[in-house]
Amino acid sequence: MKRAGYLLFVLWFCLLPLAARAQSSIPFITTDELKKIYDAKGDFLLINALSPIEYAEESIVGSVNIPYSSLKDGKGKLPENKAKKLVFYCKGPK
Amino acid sequence: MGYTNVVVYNEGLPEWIKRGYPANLKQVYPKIEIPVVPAADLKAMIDRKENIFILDIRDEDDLKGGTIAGSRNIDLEVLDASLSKVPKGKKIVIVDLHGKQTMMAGRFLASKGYDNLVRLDGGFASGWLKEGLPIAK
Repeated sequence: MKRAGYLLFVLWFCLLPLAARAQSSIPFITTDELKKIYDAKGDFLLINALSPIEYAEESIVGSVNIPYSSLKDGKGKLPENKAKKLVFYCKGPK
Repeated sequence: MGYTNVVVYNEGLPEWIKRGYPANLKQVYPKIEIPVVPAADLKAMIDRKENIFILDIRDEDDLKGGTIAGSRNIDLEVLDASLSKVPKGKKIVIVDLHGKQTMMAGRFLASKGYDNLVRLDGGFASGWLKEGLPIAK
C-alpha cells in the first residue's frame, strides 16, 4: 500500500508547478534523458496518464494510455515485472 | 503496487512536441476557438443566475481542494461515457485544474454537437482560487 500511495503521489505531482517540484525528492527524468533512453530503445514503459480524450489527439509514439483514475482503481494494466522502469507523463508543469 | 523504478517526465508532452520528437498528433476533434471567461466574470454570471452549466472536469482528488458552488463534476476521463449528463441548449462553462485541459474537453464536446462553450481562464486553481472567490466543499 505504501508503494501504491507513492506511485499515485508521483502521478499527482506531475501536475504541480515547478516551484513545488523543487521542494521534493520525487524522481524526474528530463527531456534529454528520456530522449536518450527512447532512442536507445531502453527497457521501459512510457505511460500517458491523461484521459483517453486527450490521448486520442496527442501522445508520444510508443506510449500507452493508462489514465490516472484507472490506475487508482486497479483497472490500468501495468507490467508484471515490478522492476521494469515506468515513465509517466502528462501535460507538464503549469 | 510494488514497482521499484518509477519516474515522471515532468516537462511533459508540450516540451516533447515542441522539440519535434516522435509524437502521434491527430486532429480528432474540430479545431475551434473556445473563448475563456475570467473567474470574476463567471462569478458574475452565477450571481445573475444565468442559464449556464458549470462542468468541472477535474478528478476526485483535485476536488478535495474545493469546488464552485452549483458546478457539476464529470471527470474528463469518463466524459465520453457521461455525455447524457451534459445538457444541450445551455452555455457550458468548462472548469479544470489549471486551464490546460479545457480546450481539449471543449473541442471534444464540440465534436458531439455542443456549440455554446466557454472555458474558465486558469481553471479552478489558477483562476477561481487565485482570485479569492468563494469555494464550496
